[in-house]
Amino acid sequence: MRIEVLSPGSLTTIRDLGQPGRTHLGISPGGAADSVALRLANRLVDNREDAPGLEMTLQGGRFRFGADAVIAVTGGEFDASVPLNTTVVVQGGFELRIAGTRTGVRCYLAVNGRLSGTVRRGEQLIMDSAATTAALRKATPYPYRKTLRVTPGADTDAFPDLAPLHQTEWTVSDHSNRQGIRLLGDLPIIGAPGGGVQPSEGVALGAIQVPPDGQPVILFVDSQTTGGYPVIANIASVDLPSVAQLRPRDRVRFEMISFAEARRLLLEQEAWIANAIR
Amino acid sequence: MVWASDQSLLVRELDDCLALFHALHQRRAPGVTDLSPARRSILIRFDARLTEHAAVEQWVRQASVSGVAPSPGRLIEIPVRYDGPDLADVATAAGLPVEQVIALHASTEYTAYFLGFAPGFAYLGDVPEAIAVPRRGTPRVAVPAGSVGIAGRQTGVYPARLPGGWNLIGSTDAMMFDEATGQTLVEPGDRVRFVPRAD
Repeated sequence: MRIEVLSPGSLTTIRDLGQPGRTHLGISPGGAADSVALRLANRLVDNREDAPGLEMTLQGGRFRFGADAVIAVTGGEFDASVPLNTTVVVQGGFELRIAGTRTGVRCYLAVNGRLSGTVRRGEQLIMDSAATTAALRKATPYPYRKTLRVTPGADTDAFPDLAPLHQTEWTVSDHSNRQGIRLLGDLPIIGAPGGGVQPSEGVALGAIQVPPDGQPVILFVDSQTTGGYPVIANIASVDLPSVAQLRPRDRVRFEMISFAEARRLLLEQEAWIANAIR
Repeated sequence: MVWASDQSLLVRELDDCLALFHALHQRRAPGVTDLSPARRSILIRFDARLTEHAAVEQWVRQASVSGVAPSPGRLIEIPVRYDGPDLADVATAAGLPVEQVIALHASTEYTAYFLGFAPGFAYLGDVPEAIAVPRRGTPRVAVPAGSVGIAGRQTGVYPARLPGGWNLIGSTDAMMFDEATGQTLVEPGDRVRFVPRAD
């Protein structure tokens, strides 16, 4: 089965859950920015959770299906010609249109089968072993948050004052992408250790780095594997999907939690995902 | 050891980072996904659904005392044309003739301490003190792929067109990172020599 890319949108790519095990070569695991949304989309179409799907950012796209197919769209609240968070059986010739988004910034299209190809106007995406019927199910929409839970990070103890991180309402900058989400605030974070620069070290996914200008950056799925700015805190893994859905000019706050709480929330999220499809 | 996030920890103040890296690499623990060495630390990423900080810390402690013989590393030779735009500046800063800068850079066997910044970018050291010129005051917006640079006691090759502030002394056709296969030419612990070529 083939899918014709009538319009690719702005930043549409094929993503799976990433490839860990290569950061010592300078290679980030990458993968879907919102891994929960991709997993739910795949579950809705009876794929493995780690199967590749289409990640669309801010602008969806237009796609024509060459034959009957089982599809699902999840993630941000995009205007789409199919219902979101639902298994949909489309007929050959169907044109899927995904326009802009009301909330969130990324959506995911999963199609039953194995997806390959390049997302470019006029190109054909290839679906191997695609099913044409499926049980119709819905996924509970994921409760994305604007108050992001964080744990201490690599250099938290070296910062003289954590108050600006917690008390500031941060605005997501236009210069945000899969490498990093830049935040702007009225009160820059001052007194970063080492004057804001130190020898490079490996950086964790979701590290909140503070460069010398005091405006923090959340390192995201395509970030460098090493960094030289001190890390004031780290996004709790449970809220990485919410980071993936931040759009420019969104306002966010941070809430510090313990490592034990972060782990408990992550395991709770796994249970939520297991029960999200009905 | 510092808990760097809810799914990672950072082992710091290591005197022999590569020895611990190899010891950990050889005896992987369940749930550990990535080891990311730097000059004196290793970031260990794990899947918190499969393991937790305490178990990973225990594994690191065992590996630290196990005394695994450090791997000597492969010897990689990288052919270089010493034609970089900053070669003359480096010579001036070092107070040496250009030929001497080249001879010093090319006669040293470097250790690949770690990779970072970009896929395949290896931090090599130690550059001889005499030519250890600090990075440029203003970084370039785009450094061509294959550029060979010096920044203090470190040298390295830009694997792709990237922004950068290192002093560019030469260029190579060696493929530091093959996007199609995901292979890098150099891995942590490898030894690297730069071989001057005339053309």
